[in-house]
Amino acid sequence: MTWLPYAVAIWLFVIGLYGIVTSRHFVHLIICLSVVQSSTYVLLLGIGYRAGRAAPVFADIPPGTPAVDPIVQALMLTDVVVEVTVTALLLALAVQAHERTGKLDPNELGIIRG
Amino acid sequence: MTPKVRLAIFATAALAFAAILWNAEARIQPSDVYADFVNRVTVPERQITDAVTAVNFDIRGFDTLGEEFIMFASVLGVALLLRRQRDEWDGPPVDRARGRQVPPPSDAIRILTVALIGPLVLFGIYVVVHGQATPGGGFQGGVILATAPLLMYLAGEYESLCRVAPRWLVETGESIGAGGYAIIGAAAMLRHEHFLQNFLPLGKAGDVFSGGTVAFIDLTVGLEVAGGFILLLLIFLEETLVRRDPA
Amino acid sequence: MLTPPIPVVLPLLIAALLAAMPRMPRWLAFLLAILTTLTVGCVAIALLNYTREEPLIVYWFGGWTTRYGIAPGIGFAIDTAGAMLVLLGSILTTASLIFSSRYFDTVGTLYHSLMLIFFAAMNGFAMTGDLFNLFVFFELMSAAAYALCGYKSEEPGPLQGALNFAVTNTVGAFLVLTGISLLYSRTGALNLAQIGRSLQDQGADALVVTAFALIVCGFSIKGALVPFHFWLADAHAVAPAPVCVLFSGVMVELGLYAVVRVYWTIFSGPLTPHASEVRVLLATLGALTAITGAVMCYAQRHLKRLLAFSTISHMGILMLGVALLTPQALAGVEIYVVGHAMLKGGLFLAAGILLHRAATLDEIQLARHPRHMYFVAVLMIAGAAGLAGAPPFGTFWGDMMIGGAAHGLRNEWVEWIAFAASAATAGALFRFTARAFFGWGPKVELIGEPGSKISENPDTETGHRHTPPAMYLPAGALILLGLVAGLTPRLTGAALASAIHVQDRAGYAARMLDHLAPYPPAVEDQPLMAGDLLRGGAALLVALALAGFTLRAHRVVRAGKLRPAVRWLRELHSGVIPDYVTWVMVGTATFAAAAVIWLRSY
Repeated sequence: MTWLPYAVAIWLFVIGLYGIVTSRHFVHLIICLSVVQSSTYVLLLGIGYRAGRAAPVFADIPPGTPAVDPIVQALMLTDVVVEVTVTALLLALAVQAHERTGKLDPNELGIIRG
Repeated sequence: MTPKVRLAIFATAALAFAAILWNAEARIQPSDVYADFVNRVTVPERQITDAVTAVNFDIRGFDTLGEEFIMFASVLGVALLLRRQRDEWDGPPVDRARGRQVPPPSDAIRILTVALIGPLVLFGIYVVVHGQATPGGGFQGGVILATAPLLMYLAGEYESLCRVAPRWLVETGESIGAGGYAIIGAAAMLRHEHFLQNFLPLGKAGDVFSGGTVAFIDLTVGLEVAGGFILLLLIFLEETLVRRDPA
Repeated sequence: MLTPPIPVVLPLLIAALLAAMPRMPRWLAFLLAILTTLTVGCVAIALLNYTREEPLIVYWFGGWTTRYGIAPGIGFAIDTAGAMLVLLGSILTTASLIFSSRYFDTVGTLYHSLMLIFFAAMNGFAMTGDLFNLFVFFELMSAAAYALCGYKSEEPGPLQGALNFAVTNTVGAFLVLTGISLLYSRTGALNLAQIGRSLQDQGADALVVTAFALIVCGFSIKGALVPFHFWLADAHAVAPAPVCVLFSGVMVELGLYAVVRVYWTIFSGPLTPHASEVRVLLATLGALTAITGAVMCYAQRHLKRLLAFSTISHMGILMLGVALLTPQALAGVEIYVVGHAMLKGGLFLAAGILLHRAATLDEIQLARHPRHMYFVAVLMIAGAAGLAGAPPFGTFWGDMMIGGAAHGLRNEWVEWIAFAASAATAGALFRFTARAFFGWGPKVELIGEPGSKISENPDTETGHRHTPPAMYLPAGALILLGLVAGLTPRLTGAALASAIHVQDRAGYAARMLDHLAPYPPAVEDQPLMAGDLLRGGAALLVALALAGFTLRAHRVVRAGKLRPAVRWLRELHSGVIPDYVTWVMVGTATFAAAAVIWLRSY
């Protein structure tokens, strides 16, 4: 079953992009972007897992015990912070767009074209 | 493009993309080179028992500095985008559905939230400070700390949140957190070592003050993350509750 | 060795300091910011000087040097190309800050902080030798850019532009991250040199090739290559002029830089048996971009959007140069980047001055009331001549080297496309200048109805009667630098040496991981030939002729057969995010499929 995380990652990526392409509401679009981001988390953690090994915290277990990959966990932490903050920025843009135009449909903003 | 055409084009491309990704990911056989090195080295060389924190704040600490500033820049960006425009004015919070019977905040919520604030702050500080010994660290603890003012808002009104966490205080705290990380890194350079080199005494593995500079970086990052999230909360609440359009 | 972290850490520290003191007086904030960028510029010059003897400066953060052949820490690997990009960023940021010091609405110190963070991220991106660090600086650069793009948030236009920019580039970041994960799984390393070394023995299977495709496509979104380019025109049309200078001058070029760096340190080894297929793939991207950008550029009437499509077209020319995969072509690309950045920066600042005085950037509106601002007109004419590749601008030498490399590979069509694209974009600028400043030609719409409804509130308070020196001095200085860059002695030789080092995968790894110092090769300058001068002059003449023809023979133009085709192309640029994301998916899937079919070894 080691292929399951990879299948889930691909599915999340594609379905998130599908949500963006068919979106009719900016907040929905931004949350779909988060879904796409989750696919990279699942991929990273799937790569980092080693069956039968402990967590890489050597407080209770002696140092040198085989443990899973801590690097991908650190990469993922970085990723999560990036995603949260970019989501906040995008939501601020969406809120302000609604204030200024009264519209929230990405297909209808229509100010810049051509 | 009409939505139907667009969806058809997208679906074809997405299917092809999924197939290509599957083909690639089926050949993944993870390599242990980096992971084993880190797991072997964190306790003997840095006295840090949480390998993830060691990677985050010491071995790959420069990445985390960049990431912290991503948070900082995004919060600045939100403050910029939701700033008061020339034609807007500030007013007290107003109920948009006029004539509605507004129920007062229930006593159960008030009691529960006020009771939770103390343990939550304590727990947040615990997680921040113990990052180098047990799972946790600046980011995780900072987020927990940031929920405390949110509880204050739930328990009371918007004004109580503003009194507990005034904007200037939160902004200053966030900037100190962000700058503090860079200063700790630069302090190593004053001793003719490399940027972000761990130059403080390392302590004993499992202690709170182990890992040298990592203990202090945990604190600055916790301050910055908590400050950032509280500031986001303040800005969004101000935009929703207080900003008034021209009449 | 204390200087490598400074270009990143100093601006970040000052940005945090400025953000902590929002009530700082305006002059002090600008002074601090400009002093920071100047300091970083001096550090960049020092680094450039040092790279003449030591081709790769290696700096390990946290003191984590290499052990048993692996690189546990994050390392900066600064070569001439990287140091040059830092210097370029410093010059452009200083010019932008000086330009905005007089009338720009800075919202306390938020503008300065964001610009400094943006600057720091670009420097880190150019100097790093670690793949995930590259990604982190990519995201930092992008976050600051989204906020700066939506700066004038009281209008709806900047918000739409910023949203298009943000969503498209975030999708690009995901593609890059997926590629990085695949590479990490195969090699267990995040350091560029170590990944390259680990892969070079293995050859390219589907995983490596897919990672290549994902990373190239992800960075191509930043680099505005077709079909990933739609966001750039939207973002540039609405961002304030000093911010556009940085976007077009450095940020977009950094996307291409990432492709070059990642290819030559990691993928050139496993993909060596298929180098000609890689050429074809990348050259197709470049050619499509150059042509689409040129056509769309000519069809615009809003000056900043016109300049934005011109940037896209020139990125296509740069990609064509990169695709040739020879040191001479890459050297030409490096020189071209420098020349183009200065000229484009100067042109955007000129657009900012025009907006400040005239409160509009629309060609037809300006044609009805021509502004006799001769200094700005001279700047735009000089900039346009440079973009056409006329001697002695920096772009001319870049064109010369790329052309020479193309000739050597019998790929003359590359030269022709570059010629046509630069002539077309320069012609569009000549046409704009003629109408807006001199009132020549008809005062009606020629190519098509305007697409965008951008109502332009100026970045500054409206309708000024004169331009302060703080605004026209940086604009003039940048155009002058674009001219003077071409006159640097031994320019082609230095660029060639730098390009050889970029493409030397084994030497890079040896310097980074083993601390060895292989002997650098001897290089000679490329001789200037009469054919090159002729070509540069011809491009300028063709551009002038094109502009003149459009303005005089306007009845022919309006009745022409090209209008439906151009209209179809313009409708593709719909400003709607779902369309953009669909095109990203189409482009990525096509590129990845082509790569997996042709570039695999087993």
